[in-house]
Amino acid sequence: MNSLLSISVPIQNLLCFWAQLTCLGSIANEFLLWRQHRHRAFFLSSVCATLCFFIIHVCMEGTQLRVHGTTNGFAQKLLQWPFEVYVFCLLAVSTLCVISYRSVLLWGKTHVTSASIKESIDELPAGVCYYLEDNRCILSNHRMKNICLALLKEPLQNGAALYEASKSKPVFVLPDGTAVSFRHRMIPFDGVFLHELIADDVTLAYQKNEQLRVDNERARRLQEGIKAYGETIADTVREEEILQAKVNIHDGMNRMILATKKAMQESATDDERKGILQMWQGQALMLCKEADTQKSNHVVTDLNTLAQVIGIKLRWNSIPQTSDSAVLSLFLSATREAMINATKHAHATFLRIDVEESKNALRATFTNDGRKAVSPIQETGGLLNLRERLKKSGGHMQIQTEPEFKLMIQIPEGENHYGNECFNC
Amino acid sequence: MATNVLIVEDQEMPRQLFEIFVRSDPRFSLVASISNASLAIDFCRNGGIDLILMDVMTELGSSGLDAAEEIKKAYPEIKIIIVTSMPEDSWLDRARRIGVDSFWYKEAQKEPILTVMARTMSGEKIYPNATPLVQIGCTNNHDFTKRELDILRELISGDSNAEIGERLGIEASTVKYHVQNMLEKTGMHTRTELAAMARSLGIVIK
Repeated sequence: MNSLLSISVPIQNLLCFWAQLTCLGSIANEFLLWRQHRHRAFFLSSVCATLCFFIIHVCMEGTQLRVHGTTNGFAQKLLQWPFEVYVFCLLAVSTLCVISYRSVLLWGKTHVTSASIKESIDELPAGVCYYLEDNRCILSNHRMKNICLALLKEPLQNGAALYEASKSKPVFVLPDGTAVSFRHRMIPFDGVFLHELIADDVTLAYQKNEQLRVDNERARRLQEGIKAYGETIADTVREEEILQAKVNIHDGMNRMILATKKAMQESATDDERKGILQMWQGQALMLCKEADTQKSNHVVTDLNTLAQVIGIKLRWNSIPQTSDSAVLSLFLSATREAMINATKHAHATFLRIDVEESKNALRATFTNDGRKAVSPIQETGGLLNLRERLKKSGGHMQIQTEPEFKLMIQIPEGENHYGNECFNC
Repeated sequence: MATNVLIVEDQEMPRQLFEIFVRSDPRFSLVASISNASLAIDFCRNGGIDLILMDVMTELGSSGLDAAEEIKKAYPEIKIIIVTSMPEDSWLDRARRIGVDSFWYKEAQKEPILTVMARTMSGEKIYPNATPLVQIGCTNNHDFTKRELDILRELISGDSNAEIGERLGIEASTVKYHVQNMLEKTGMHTRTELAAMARSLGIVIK
């Protein structure tokens, strides 16, 4: 076998260069393995690097002996070692170096490192921040740092401060127009609790929510419009119908004028003249009565008609002036009840009605000339229903039997309620 | 012997016309004419009423159909003719259900009211085949289904689909579907427009 000194200089230099390359590779592997926290592999690479360094050193000693003719005794012994031993060692170390580098690459693909975690959370659209119990922020991404700058006007250092600020509103709109919503939770980690604060990008949901809010407001206004329309439509339709009826009357009058003109020109018979006259009378009657369309007048007229039919006379000291349908409806029911009870139980011949109206309520008192009640009035049927209806509307009813029978009611107008007000106050 | 007639009509013009018609025919005698349906039962209680001409929507919101139901229960021998100008579909059904004798549309029916009154008194029940045809947008009231009319009637209240659905016992999505159908049929753009138009034409009245 040839010793290292017996081989030619170029081959020895080539061996030295090979050892240098392998040494550099092993050092690089050491660095990568250290980052991956693989201590055994790191140690092996260190051994490889040391062995390579040793071979380089022996080669350099060989060169010194060849040039200067001197070297130390230990190096001379090493230079006597067979050349193949060095080649074999370098081959083994090189193989290990390649295997080690390949394992570094594979390990990187199959394992998550802290760097890859940082890199990945920086790519997230949401802002992420983890902080400890002492409020120290241990991990956060660029997005959360920007959000913190926008909200607190300071860099993200204190996680708790950001969390406190995030609690003030459910959604924050940032200067760039994006909207974020925060959520927080505690995570047990390595024996302690870690705070996780995430700022979700809710821009789309926020925009849709805002649009929905605007739409809902519009829908609410429309619904109120429909409700108001529903409340007034009956009167509007009635007015339209009255107008239409008036138009019909005027059309009828036009036709009658034409018919009269024709009758005058063509010497109509007596029967035809009588017919035309009757038509004129009918139209004139309707025109005379059409002015009387006030609601309260209808109520008074209806009650007078009913009184006439059931045989009692109504004496109106005053009549209601309100046009509130709800008030007039209650007044009509009360008068009807008073009228029927006066004829049925007291055999009265007249009923006096006093109406007093203030800004907020209508008060009416009914008295009759019938016989006095011998026992307290039992409220059943109509009277009981009337009391209930009045109570429901915020009004009330009072019955007095001495010195004469009196039925007194109070009906609040509009949204006013005067249920606690007494008649004598 | 003349038939005693009670007229219940809140509008002055038609009331006067009915009065003139009744007075002009010796077969009928006018007992009274009033504007509020809730008082009609009191006239019947006093006796002497054979026939009532009853409007549906009367003074102070009193319903002629409610009054007719009450009268028919207490005095089934009294004949009642419902007179209205509104094409509200549900009124015809309700009138039949409560035993109203005849139903007459003020403007749409060709047969004179006096003829209808006479035929009713002779025991006939006279009902129109359908409500008057009313144009609404690109369609007419006869093109709506019963369910659509039910929803349209609730729409006027201004309530949401969910509230309407709850009242009718259907899903809010079903209400939405029917409203959309009606909008397509009429060519209207909003439910407000549809509800307002349907109510003002009297197609649905709540």
